[in-house]
Amino acid sequence: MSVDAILTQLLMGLTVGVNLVLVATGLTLVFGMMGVINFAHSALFMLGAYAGLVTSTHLGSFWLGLAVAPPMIGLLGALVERSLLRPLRERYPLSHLLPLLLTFGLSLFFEGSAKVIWGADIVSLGKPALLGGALSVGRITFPTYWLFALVAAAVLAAAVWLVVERTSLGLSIRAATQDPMMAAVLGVNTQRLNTIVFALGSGLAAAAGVILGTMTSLSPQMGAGVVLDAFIAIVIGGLGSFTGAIVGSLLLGQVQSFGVALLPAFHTPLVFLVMAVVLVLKPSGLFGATERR
Amino acid sequence: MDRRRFITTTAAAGLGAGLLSRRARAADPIKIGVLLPFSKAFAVLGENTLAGFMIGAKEAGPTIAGRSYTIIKEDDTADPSVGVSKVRKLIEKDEVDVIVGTIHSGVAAAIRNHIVDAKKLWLNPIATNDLLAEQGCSRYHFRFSNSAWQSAAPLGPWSKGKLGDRAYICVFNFAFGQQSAAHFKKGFTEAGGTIVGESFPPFNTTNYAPYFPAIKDAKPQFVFANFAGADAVAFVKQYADFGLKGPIKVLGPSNLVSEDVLTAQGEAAVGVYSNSYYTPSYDIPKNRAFTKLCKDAGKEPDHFLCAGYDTAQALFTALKETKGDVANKERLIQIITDMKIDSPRGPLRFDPKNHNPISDIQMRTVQAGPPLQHVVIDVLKDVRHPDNMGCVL
Repeated sequence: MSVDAILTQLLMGLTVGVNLVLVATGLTLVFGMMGVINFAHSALFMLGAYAGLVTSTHLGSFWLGLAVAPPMIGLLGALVERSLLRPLRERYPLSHLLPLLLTFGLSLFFEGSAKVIWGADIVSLGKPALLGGALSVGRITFPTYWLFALVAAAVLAAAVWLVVERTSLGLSIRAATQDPMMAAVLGVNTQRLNTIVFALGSGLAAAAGVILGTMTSLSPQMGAGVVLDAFIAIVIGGLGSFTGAIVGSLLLGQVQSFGVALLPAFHTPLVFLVMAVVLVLKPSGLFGATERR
Repeated sequence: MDRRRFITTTAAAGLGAGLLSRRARAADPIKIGVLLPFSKAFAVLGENTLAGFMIGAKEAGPTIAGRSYTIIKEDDTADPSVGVSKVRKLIEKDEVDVIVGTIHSGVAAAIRNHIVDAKKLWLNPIATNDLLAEQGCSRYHFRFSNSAWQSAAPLGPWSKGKLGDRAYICVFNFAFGQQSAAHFKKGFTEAGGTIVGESFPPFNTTNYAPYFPAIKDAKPQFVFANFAGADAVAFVKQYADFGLKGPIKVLGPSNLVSEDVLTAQGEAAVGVYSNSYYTPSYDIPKNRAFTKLCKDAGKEPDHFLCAGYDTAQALFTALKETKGDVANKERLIQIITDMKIDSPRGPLRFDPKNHNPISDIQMRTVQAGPPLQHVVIDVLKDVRHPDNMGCVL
């Protein structure tokens, strides 16, 4: 493998990895705070892509689509949390199964609705002319749009990292993901935090939906593969851990990219092998708390 | 079967009045089970095939020789295990007379024995699995698209002459992809070409970029690629994004750049070579009429609609000839075997030795828009699957 090929493979893996961070963040934070694997996450990712498509077609600008879709889906996420998830969890505080079923039902509902509204046709989100073409450095050719996808997702992920690690809101979030009950006792408004985190996670997934949707295509079931990857990433990183989600996602991006290049016949199981090895060595994931709840 | 009908038929049978129940059944609507993928990656393909079938059904009218028919749809999600449970539901619970389906080759292989053992007439609009024209063939099975062999083997000698003698193979990793790759490879190497590398991305891959450096390093003159649905969109777009399309041409079966994905691929698809038994821009009267029927139904014609339409044409023509009698399977099979179908693709008939279709194969390239479309650059006449591959009908 030439140096150029290694660098290209590295960049590809990084692009996928940082976008995976955006998807994984919501998944892991919601799990940390509410103990729920949000099955509707893939649908929110997909709805984000479609929201981006609709706004960018109507307003004639990819950038507006990218700017409008995340807050829109964030709002939808907040609505779901406030009007469905919270009442359910208040009525059945001990059940982990019911919220799971609720989010699963929601994912079917959202995917079905998308199929009714936009049809099952595969559609494409056009990239802006500014980001067309490819950049060449030496023998490395990398599409401008992919570079943008890498930078945009990295900036977003860094911003979220700053909020989570450096603000008092972030401190409350981290406290609540580690022990929601104790955080509530200590005066953290966990109810409000739940809404904020759900909205944030949904918005980030939507942003990734727009960014990744432009690289591939849009269809009602587009979210399934990405969210499965994000789920593997947070299992590797440690369920509920934000740092774990970042490390897991970036690691997974590289494993996939180099797996294809070095072990072409074995790269699909390779991802699961990495996950299995991590879980054997550290059952709670790389950054998961060893003893929780 | 609803509960009331269940009660009446079992009651009739219970009375020992076999004749009565058979007569009651003859007045029942003909039951057509349609098994296609209506969700996941192949959803659009399933919807379009069904749309083509429904256009043909509409043309045939709501009754066949005074007997009505119902269409029972099931979603196999392009998953073999789901396909099996759905086909068993159609056969055992719905007791359908005819099965129309499916698209995914793996599903077709999985449901084959269930349908054949139940001796149901099986009209397969799309699934290209070669086995169905070889050891796995059956007198009950008719295909309306082409076999993987027909869509790939003739490309070998053709591309050796037209595109170059160094090829790279990149196809998705399941029966359809593997078979087409093997056929292309055989035809191409026999014509004197060299395969310089191969990769097999899994079904439902969204990111093809990691495969590109290896392709570049192998320095082929063209890539033989086989993907469908969302996979085809992602592959063709990313291939162009990474600047490979200029120096390394792309050739594939029709599904790589078929109409269901072409709009989403956009400019990235321009210049991609493909073959198909059907091209929407093909200018013959039957196709002009078919195009109008599609547009009236709110659809753009493509080869899925064409195959679905031809399936309906064959089924309803045969049923009309038997005056709506579906019980006599052998007669229906004989009628379809002898049938000459006036298809939008041109004449279509079946090989009496394996029930595989015989029709022309068109070689096309994608022309820049508007409208972005395929133009036929060559026609391979009367392509037929080899009939010495172990098929015993």
